[in-house]
Amino acid sequence: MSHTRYIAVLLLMACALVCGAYAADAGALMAEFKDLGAPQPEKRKLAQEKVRQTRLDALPALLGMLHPKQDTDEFTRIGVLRMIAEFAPLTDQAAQTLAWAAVMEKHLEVRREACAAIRQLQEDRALREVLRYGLAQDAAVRRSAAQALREIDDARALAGLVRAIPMPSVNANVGMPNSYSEPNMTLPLGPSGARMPIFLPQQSISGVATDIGSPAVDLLKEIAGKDFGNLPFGWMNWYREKAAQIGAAEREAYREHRSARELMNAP
Amino acid sequence: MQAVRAMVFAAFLLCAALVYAAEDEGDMRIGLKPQPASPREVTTEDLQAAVKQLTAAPANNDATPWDRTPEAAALAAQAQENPELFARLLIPPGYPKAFPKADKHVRARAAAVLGLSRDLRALQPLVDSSVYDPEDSARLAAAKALRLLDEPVALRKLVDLASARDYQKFPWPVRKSACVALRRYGDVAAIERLLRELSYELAGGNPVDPKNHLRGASVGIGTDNPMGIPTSTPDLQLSEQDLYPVLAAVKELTGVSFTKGEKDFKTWQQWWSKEGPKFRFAE
Repeated sequence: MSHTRYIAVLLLMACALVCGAYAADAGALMAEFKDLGAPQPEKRKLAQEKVRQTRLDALPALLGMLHPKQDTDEFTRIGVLRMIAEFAPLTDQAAQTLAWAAVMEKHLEVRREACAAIRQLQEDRALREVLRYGLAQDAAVRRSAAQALREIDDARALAGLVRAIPMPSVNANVGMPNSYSEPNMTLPLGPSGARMPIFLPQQSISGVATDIGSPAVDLLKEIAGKDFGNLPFGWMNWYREKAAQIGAAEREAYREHRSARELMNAP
Repeated sequence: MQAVRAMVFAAFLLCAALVYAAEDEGDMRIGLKPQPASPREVTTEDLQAAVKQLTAAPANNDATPWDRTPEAAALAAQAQENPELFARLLIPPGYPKAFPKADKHVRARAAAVLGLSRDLRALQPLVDSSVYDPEDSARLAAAKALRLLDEPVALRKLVDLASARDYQKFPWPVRKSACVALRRYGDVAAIERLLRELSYELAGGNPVDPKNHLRGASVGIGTDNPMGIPTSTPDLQLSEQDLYPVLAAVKELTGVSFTKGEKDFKTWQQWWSKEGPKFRFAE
């Protein structure tokens, strides 16, 4: 029993030693890569060359430099993101870090640089992660994700959000018809212009509408900076105008010449 | 006994791991983190000496532009050491921390020196100078110096200024000045960036433009406006530049406008896909 414990503790400590060695290596690399944001172009170029030389080992250190607790300055983080973009195709962890930097970084320019990297690499995993941030509970995170999505400006993400808007469902319960106590309207159809009363049945209608709001609509409102309501049609038309598929004049012309059948949304 | 021996050995290994990890970076400290050394304060004597150097005639007084003289190169090396000194000289008189002797020639040359130094610390002062300086020659020098920094952040900052929505903080003359700076910067990426913003500005109408109100907002039962309350577009009596800041910036930057369909992004997209590859900024 005691032998087993002895070996287990030894193994644990060996792991600690290995981790320590890794941390030491990463720390040394981070210290070398700090010049990625140096004000002088020569120093930056030198640091970039170092990153390219230590290609395989560099990525974990670069990702570590983006950690919020690291006191790397704004331009170093920007330089780190530019170097990470050179490592494409990225690992899952790198893609997630890009998404995190695009939304949660405190410096605006670093967030934009991360967005530029996502856009340039067409990094779908990072984009998916940014969309996930956009549906978060925290309003500040949602707003930041909306800004990132606007900066990335990926048509697929916007189209996906429009498609995700649910159609609201409305239940209508029609009550019993009322008695014909008074006419609903009068029409001048009688002799000498006499008005003829028209009686129409009246029924009370009560109903419940559900799916009026959705996270996709809220996110789209944040991204567009405009409010087209909660129906998918309005947003679909916004998307088509944004993607330069239709112009405002074409859209108005279509709207003006709709048939009665189309106006009633008949299939 | 064996367990105690194992514990002692483990503690030794743990200490070794910690020391090994901390050795290279040397960042294991107890107590408050030391503050980074603050940059040296720029004195009036320093500024006066720099002005003297900037205004001195070059030794080889031929037709070579001043920013290509050895004197300018020497000052650029000096600017790499102390960019704050030249950044102070960029501030036009009347602004806080301005040096009274920094006239338009001094400011233009200070901008050129900062550009030659290619130091990133000069980025923000140069952006400010390229937009806000009252003298055109200083604005021109700052915009050209920005180009030398070769930093996309500068372009993004200028595009932000050119298309700012806050028309009270950034009135049209400021945004127009930013557009001119972008033209002098001369990177077509600025137009692409502005066109992306334009697609958001124009699509679906403008909530504050009574002549181009929002199109297709949902109304009726099952929507978030079930009573069908009409959305009243406030007439704020704003100019076209304030109603459509991005459109105004694109027009100013490219010099292109359309009589028909100008507020359709489709029109701009079609123009750019046709003209974009061969587009050059007018001198």
